[in-house]
Amino acid sequence: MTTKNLQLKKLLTLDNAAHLLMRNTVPILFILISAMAIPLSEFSFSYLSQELMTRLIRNSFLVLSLLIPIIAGMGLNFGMVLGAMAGQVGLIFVTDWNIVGMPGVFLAMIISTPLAILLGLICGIILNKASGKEMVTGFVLAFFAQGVYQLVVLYGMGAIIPIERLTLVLSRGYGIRNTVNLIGIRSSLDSAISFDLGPVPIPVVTLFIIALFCLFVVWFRKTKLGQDMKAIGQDMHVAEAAGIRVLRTRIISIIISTVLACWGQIIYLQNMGTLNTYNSHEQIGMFSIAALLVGGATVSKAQISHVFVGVILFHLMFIVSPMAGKNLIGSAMLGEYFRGFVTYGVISAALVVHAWTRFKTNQRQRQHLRGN
Amino acid sequence: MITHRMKLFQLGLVLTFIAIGSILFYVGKGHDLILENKLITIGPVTYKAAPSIKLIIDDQKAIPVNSGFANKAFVVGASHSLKAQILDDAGAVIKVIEKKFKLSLHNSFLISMPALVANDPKWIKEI
Repeated sequence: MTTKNLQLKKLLTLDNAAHLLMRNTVPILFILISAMAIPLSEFSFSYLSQELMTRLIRNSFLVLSLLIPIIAGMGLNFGMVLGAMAGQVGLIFVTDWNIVGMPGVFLAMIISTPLAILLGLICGIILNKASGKEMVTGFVLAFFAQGVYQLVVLYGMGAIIPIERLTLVLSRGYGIRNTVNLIGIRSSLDSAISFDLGPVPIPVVTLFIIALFCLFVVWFRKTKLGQDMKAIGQDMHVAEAAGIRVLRTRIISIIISTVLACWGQIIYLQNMGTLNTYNSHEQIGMFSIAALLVGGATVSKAQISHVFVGVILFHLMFIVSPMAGKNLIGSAMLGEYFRGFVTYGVISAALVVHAWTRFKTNQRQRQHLRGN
Repeated sequence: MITHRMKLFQLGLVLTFIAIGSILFYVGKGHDLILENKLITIGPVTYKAAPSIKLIIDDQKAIPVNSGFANKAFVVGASHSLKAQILDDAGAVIKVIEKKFKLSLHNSFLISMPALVANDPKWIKEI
């Protein structure tokens, strides 16, 4: 009996280990690749720590903004690009008005918030109409929004929307230049209060804002709205039958995500110090989603820990892969290609795994109903 | 259902954000100051360029403005203080002028050193 119990325990542990391994395939793969790439890149520990801290504070807020739609069962919010666009519009105005430092960052957030709410509302309504295909709809919606953004920024600003600063406007008299220098607000959050921990500068204010956001997510999950979203995420029809206003709640989740993405983009760009007017927002959605998936999140389940693990692993790969490629094969381009391959590969792999799991679950449920 | 109380709360929130935004605009507004030490005519009076001047605005580094030349400074916010040290040919301080001034929401201002030295009320103007 004792031997049998022990064997059962062993089996359960092995089963658990296998399950854990299956669930964390992507992070484990990234850890293994990074473990091989770090020595090849020949970067020092202090350089890697500095770079990682910079990227952690730059990207965490954006990646965290993806959590709430996942709770509501809307998958990965590719529509976060709309929020990023709103943030950039706020930054353009702040630069034009010459508002500098921390007031500039917070004013950009205040200006862009109503726009982000409006875009989130539109995005939420559209996603409700495409229920079950939210991710691809969000992805295409981002392309459409890109066109509208270009129309407003390239033709509206300086012509209809007054822009005073000549350095912002194209030589033809209207439209914003390709690059906007954010020197007035550059690192204003990061350098407000900071100290050095060995070779790594610790930006206290930015970390505090990120920590505040994490607490908000934890608190939000416990609220009535958070519980409603959780119920909708588990089963929309059951939630509706239980009296939850499903469509409204889903719209709210997208609005919250869009507003947070807008603020995240402002934090990201104040760290960078330069705004690529027509490109900065394009890659944000892809990179943030890839980072979250690398952290071990899935389309239907994500936690705060996934955000930080993902940002660290994904950006560690970003830092080391070009140099590792150069040292290994003599071409940094290979590392660059590898980065692109990994970004898009991780997203597609996660989507395929999600679709496969859903298919298998449905199949199992059908078999169960048949009594097999 | 949106109640009357909820509507009031939402309106209050919007007004609070507008108020915070206005404060941030006022506090964070940056201004370019052109510091000019050249001949200037204000109304019927003409002021000659002052000798070399060292200008300290707020707690910034001293900015030298030689006779017949101009320099540039950048300040943030509305209220500022200025300390002008007028130098002789040997570089010794012969006179110190201290002033406090407030800026409007305009982007750029011209500070005329000769008018400042002569204590003309129009020593600073929008450009």
